[in-house]
Amino acid sequence: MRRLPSLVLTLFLISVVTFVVVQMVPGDAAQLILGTEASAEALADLRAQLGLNRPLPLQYLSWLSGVLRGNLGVSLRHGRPVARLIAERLPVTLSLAMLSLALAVLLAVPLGVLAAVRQHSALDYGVLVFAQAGLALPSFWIGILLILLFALSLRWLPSGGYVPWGENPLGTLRTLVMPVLALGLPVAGVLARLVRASMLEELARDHIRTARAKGLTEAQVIVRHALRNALIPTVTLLGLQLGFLLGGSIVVEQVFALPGLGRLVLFAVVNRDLPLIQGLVLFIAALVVIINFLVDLAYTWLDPRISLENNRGR
Amino acid sequence: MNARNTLHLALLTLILAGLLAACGPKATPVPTAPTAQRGGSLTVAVAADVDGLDPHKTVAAATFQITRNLYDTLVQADPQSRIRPDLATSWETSDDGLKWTFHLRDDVSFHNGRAMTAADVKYSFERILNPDTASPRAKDYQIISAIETPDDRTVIFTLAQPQAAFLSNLAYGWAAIVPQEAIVTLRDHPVGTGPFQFGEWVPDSHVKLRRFDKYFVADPSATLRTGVPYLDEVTFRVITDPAARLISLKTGEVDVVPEVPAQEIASLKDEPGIKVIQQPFNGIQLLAINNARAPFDDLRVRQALNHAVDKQAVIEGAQWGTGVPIGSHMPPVSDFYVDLTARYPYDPDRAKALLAGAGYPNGFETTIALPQPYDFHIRNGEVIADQLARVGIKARLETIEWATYLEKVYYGRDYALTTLGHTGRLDPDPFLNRYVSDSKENYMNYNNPRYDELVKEGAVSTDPARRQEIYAEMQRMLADDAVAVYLLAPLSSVGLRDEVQGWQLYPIDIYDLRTVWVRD
Repeated sequence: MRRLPSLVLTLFLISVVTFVVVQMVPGDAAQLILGTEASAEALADLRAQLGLNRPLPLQYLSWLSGVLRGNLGVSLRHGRPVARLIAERLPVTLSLAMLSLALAVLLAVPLGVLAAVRQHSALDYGVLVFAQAGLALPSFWIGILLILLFALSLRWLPSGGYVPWGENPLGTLRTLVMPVLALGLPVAGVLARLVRASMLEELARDHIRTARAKGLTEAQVIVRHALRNALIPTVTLLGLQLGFLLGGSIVVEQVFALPGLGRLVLFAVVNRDLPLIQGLVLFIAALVVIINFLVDLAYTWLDPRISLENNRGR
Repeated sequence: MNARNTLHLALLTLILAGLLAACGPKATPVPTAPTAQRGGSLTVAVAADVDGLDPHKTVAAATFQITRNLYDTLVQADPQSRIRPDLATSWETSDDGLKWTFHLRDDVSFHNGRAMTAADVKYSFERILNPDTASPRAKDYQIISAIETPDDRTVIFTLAQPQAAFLSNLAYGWAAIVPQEAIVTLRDHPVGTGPFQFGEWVPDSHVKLRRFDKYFVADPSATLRTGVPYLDEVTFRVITDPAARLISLKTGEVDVVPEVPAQEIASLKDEPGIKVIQQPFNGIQLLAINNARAPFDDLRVRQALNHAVDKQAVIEGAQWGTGVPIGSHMPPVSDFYVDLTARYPYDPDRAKALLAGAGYPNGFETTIALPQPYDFHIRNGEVIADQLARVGIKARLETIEWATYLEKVYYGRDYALTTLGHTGRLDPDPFLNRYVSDSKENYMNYNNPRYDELVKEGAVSTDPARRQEIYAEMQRMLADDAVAVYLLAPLSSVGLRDEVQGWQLYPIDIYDLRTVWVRD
């Protein structure tokens, strides 16, 4: 709660910076709507209708006063409330991000632990290669390869599109398998490397020797004593990876024709749709802030010595 | 298909055959095979989502490609660019060209069940002209000074002055006739008189249309036959990634990809189960020159550019052979086209001589602005830069994102050379009037008082022969003044599953599904 004022200030500054940056970048929404086929009159009329000819501070203030009243404004290009556009697309991106994160954790933690426990084994090297590949291969490329294999050659999965959960959950899963792999595998690679490194560090510590000396089974030593500590940096990285997942969703949603937030972000920027950009940036910034808060909460659960009130984030 | 339907169809075919026979030798053969089947569904992959479905409030090509199937217009253009009846069965114009009287069909109803009348036509144009609508196309119809409806079947437009392009202006999707009672929701829930009615629109995902059983049949003797539309349902799926679009065609998830990139055509033609149809596109691609900027304010330099560019090599190298060379600002598909391709033969030596005469014996350095994400324009620029280097002009390539490009290059005219394209219109006036010296669209800074006069005369002339002369002269002037390097007219290439029949290409950017059917 003590952090609330600084959070609000952060979001406010982000909105100011976004507004200024979009103003500085050349191009405006009216020109983009009319393209190369516009008359001067049409352009002037449209700019007036969109409110683009009002003084800049006024444009910003009217947007801000709307936000304070819970109104994110209306998209210039879609002509619909920004909040509704976000709400419609949120389930797609949230499903994509959460499943990718889950895939990454489920793959990376066991692989990282096994690699650390069996250091210098073939398995260890295999994990390192996987991690390196995850770092090196871009999501869109993995995506195209997956489409070529599973959609074009094997015909197991649809090459793109989205079915809402409420309509046909199995269909949703089928459309999400490849995007989740494309987005989750690189994260899994990064994560597996970190889990391995932290585990190696933990396993070399005194308390592990003590635990072993106490006669605990190797499994108990690894899971309860080493892994739990090794997870703290992992959780930090997970919080940071959320940014990657949201950024990566822009590309992956494009490749797999998913109607999510990533597509909306790209659309907003390409079309200089200022209210939509502002709304999305504010929403995503708020999301990241909340996730970071949850990450902090996770620390206290992993290591009770960490207290949010006194010594937050260690 | 049950027995009754079969009988029905057979009967209709007979009637149609009679009609065709009655039309005598003038009858155009119907483009679809005589065994068109009714029913089934079709999925079309589109590159961009619609910008709403209200035809009066957008200029987005993605919207009009689809809205042809939802709305109708007073007249329509057929694949050969001829103006044909649509909601109007016939029309006449007064001798002074100021009064246009349209006689409407009496069998048209909106998707909400209400009959379409003259009042709807009057309302639709008043809506376009109303400043509150902020229709980006209002200017096209500003010439209308009064609209009268003496009865339910007759509409009379009075124009402030004659306008040669008036009739063809009524054939574009943005002149659609809409019902007043559905205006508020038109953007998200369109209601028209078209062959298909609205099913659903999931933004960034798809637009779904269902057959409208009460659709009237326009002009059955020419382009359409009774029984259209054939399809029960059409889905336009938004797939922005070009590679993903083609893969979904290969897997059969979509049946049609209306715009296949030139570099993919060869591989698609080899794919079993897929065919590619091609037709010259009503549009041009050019290397625009900033005529007001040195050294391009010198005619000799612009002529040198024209001799230095090998258009055939651009077509081969940048467009994989899909296109034809042009010599002025007009595609060969236009009735007004004049072949000026011989005006500047590819001749690097002559280009060098012209440059030397202009004081640049060793060439000069310049920049070609390339609009991202239009890769075909970017490739044109790359090939041209290489050709210019051979006559001593070092052209730096600068790729500029579209929004920035529009502001800086197109509207700001802050460029030296740039590659761009222009989509043709049904009438040459709106296509060629951008070169008027004080036009906001005159981004090449052309300035020729004689040209300005011709534009004025051509716009109001009602004499077809005189118009042919005028637009031929304008094309020659643009070529003689070497305003740009007019490169090529591209081909439209459509990729379809073998089962899909009756897909037609039009001189305007629409996907008309009335004639399309799916073979079992």
